[in-house]
Amino acid sequence: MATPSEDFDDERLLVAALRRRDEVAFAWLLDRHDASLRRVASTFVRTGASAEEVVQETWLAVIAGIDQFEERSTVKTWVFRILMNVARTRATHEHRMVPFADLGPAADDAPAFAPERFRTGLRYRGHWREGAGPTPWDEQPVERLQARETLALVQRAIADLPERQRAVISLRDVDGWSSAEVCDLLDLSEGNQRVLLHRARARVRQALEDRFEAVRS
Amino acid sequence: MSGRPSPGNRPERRPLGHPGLVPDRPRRRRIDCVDVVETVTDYLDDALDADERGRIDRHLAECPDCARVLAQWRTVIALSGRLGDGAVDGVDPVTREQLLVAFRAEPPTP
Repeated sequence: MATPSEDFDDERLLVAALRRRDEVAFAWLLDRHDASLRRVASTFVRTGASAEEVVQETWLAVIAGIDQFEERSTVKTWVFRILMNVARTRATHEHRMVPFADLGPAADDAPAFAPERFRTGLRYRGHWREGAGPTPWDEQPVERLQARETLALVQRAIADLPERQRAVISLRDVDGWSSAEVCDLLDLSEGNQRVLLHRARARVRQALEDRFEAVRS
Repeated sequence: MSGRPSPGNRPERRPLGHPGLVPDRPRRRRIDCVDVVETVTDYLDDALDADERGRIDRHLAECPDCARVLAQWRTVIALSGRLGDGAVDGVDPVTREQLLVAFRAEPPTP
């Protein structure tokens, strides 16, 4: 397979290459965003198979629309907006697809740490109870921390999150989007977005703590 | 009083292991651990005003448990980021080939 001869991180080069049907450019775009599109799509649908369908339909719309792309946004934003439109259109026809705005409550009000971990007495109210602070699971050798099983655990913890939390943490932390980009795509306020993100990270953290505690004891 | 404190003659002994535990400290708007742990995402997004950020910074400097929470938040972010590196979740090769065929077949707009 050909190696990209151009740097497609340069938007103008990328768009020009897509317009002249340079397959390397399209493959680059596909490989870069497909997994992320599937992660986002999976928050709207009930089954993995229909998430795949939504993503395929998105790519077909990208192919059909590339010559009409006006470069007012980045290619990435454009592609993800198409995904949102596909999901929304399908939501009106299919019950198994839910538009983002209708997914569950904005956030549960579960705290990041169980309330029992903090003192309640008058004097030291709100301070960690003796020995109830975060366990030092993060202090292990980096090879152990980044081992396949740990990453699989993180992946499972994210998959188990409520949809809106899952969408936000997928974009922010897995794909490295900025807060502004996520708010724009999902039509969230900065504040709501951060609440969802915070809850999501708290649950993933707790899953890691539970796992490494279980290993230790 | 000599400058060198001897055991049993220390000026003010704080309870071990925790900042801000001096009960008769003047009451000002203080932030407790239970609040700090709910602000770490805002903190990392730089979404706090200078005042609030300062209070959190002072707390973190004195509270190892809360400092660890912040460190763990960073670890969670880093580990989640590893999932996006592509190794875990590649494109299905058949779908990929079908899409490349569709791309090739799309006539350029004149």
